[in-house]
Amino acid sequence: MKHSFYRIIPALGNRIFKPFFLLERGEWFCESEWMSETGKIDIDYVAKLARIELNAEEKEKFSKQLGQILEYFEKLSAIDVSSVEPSAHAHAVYNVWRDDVPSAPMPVEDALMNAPAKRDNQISVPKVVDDA
Amino acid sequence: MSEDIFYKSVTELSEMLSTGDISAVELAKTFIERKNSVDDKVGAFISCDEKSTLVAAEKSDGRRAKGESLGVLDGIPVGLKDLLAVRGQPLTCASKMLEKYVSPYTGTAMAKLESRGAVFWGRLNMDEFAMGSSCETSAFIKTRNPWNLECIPGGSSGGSAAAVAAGECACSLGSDTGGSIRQPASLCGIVGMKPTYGLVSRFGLAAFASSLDQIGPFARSVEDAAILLEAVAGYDRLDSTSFNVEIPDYRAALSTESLKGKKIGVPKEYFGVGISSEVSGLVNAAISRCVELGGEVVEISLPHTDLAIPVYYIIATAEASSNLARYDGIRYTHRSSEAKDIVDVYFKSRAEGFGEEVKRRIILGSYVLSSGYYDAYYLRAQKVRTLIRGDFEKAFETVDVIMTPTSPTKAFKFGEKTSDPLSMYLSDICTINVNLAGLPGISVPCGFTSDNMPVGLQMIGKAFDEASLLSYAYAYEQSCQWHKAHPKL
Repeated sequence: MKHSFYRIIPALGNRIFKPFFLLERGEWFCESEWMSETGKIDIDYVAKLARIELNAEEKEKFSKQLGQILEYFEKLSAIDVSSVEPSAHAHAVYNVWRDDVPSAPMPVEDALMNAPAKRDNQISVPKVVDDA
Repeated sequence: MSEDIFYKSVTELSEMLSTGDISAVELAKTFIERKNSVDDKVGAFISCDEKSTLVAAEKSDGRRAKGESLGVLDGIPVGLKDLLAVRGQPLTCASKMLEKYVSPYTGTAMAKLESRGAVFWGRLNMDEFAMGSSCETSAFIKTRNPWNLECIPGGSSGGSAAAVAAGECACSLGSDTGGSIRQPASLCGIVGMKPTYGLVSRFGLAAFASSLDQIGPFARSVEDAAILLEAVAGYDRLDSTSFNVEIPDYRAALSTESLKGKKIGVPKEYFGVGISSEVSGLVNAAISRCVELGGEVVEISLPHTDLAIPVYYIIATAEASSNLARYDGIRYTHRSSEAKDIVDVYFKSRAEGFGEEVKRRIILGSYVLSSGYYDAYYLRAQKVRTLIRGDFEKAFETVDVIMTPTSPTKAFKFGEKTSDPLSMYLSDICTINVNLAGLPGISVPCGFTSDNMPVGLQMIGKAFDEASLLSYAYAYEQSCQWHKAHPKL
């Protein structure tokens, strides 16, 4: 089955292909170690996936609320969907190609007008690579 | 004076403009004055720019003087939900994340309005990133229901609904992902419509859940909604989910006879637990009126209705967690001054920029998409979505239109549901199925509760048959005239 080979790649992608200096805490570990049983959210793990820093109060509140919401979602597990195709959209959606005709892009000044920090027509960010 | 100018319909205002009874500048000034006198109570506007509105109105007068009027919308002040892009205007999504953002381009629906001469007036309040059903998650202001200032206006497009209901603009645009146009329209006593998914381009609409979002009109009459919808609908190559269908003349298709011989599907699941008896009473009376107008009631069942809330809140939060990844603190959003390195920029900017409900939904969405849970939640929800679509497909084999309440209750009080997210999510119970099935839905005023709060009747139509749906709504509206009632402010 050639498909299964390609499916493994994205799942392992982070750990195999990501340079070590871009890995963060957590990514060193197998994902399963960061999860808990169904119906309960490991709030630290998920907040990290979402790239949102939460304070202690938010963590406690969200864990409790999301636990209740997930319990409510359990309704779905009673439904037999074994012979049902998933719908990504309400109506069939097909890929759309356009003609390869060049057109004027958005001017750099416009594209950068909302940048929080910029220099020399580029967005400036904190250093990405550590000194080592 | 028979009626205040600011409560006149778009068609009446357009007539006054063409006969010279009023100029576009005078009309713009009327709405500016109205906004300035009532918006400290209503709170519909996040921001506005009187000068640019008056400049646009002046141009409209110039065109009219030369006999070059662009049609019925030329010179009409239209409010915009603060997630619709117009070049040079702020676009905050009611979030601190975009507090200083100014759009570098104009979205397709807004460009179409401009090409018809519409005058933009006001950036209207909403739930942050359209996530909410009461407007209470806005990071900036509190919008109040013009019918009772102690109550919420509905959401997420609460500002768009309240501004039209309070006469602060002639009509407005909002967006509807799970009921965000129809529910506030119902709670504020006006007309609100979500078109078929793909009818209106989403280019220039800040994305929440891309497979569900649609731009649509708010108006004080069905005819006005038809005019506004016709102006913004149509294929757009900049939205790959835009459908290439012909846009008929919706206004010309309106008929008071349209319900004659039509089969009205009434799904029993929409009149059960959780629906207030006052609301179901008024909606049932409205359906009886539709029968008097020649319709025939057919009892139907949409058996998967009660699964809509879990399906919606899995799919919408999953899509949101992906869509809102773009607010990274790097390119065009708030960036935390506390961040020390690049990863910190993401974590801290998003912590500071997003409000509580947005964080909650992004985290929920990240969870249902995460490895190990994807099949159990997201994939399963997409499959149940197929079943929900199937319910409607089956129903429309035998009926022409489906009628239900728009909101299970009248407008509730501030703070009533904010501490319990799930109870807030349940206030979308009558509207979200329509988004999941991608169908058009319209809310029309259908009476008042004993304490004089408006209630809306939802009509659901066949995909891309807005012309019939608007016409059914028009027939009902014209037979009872609820839309002529306005709040006292």
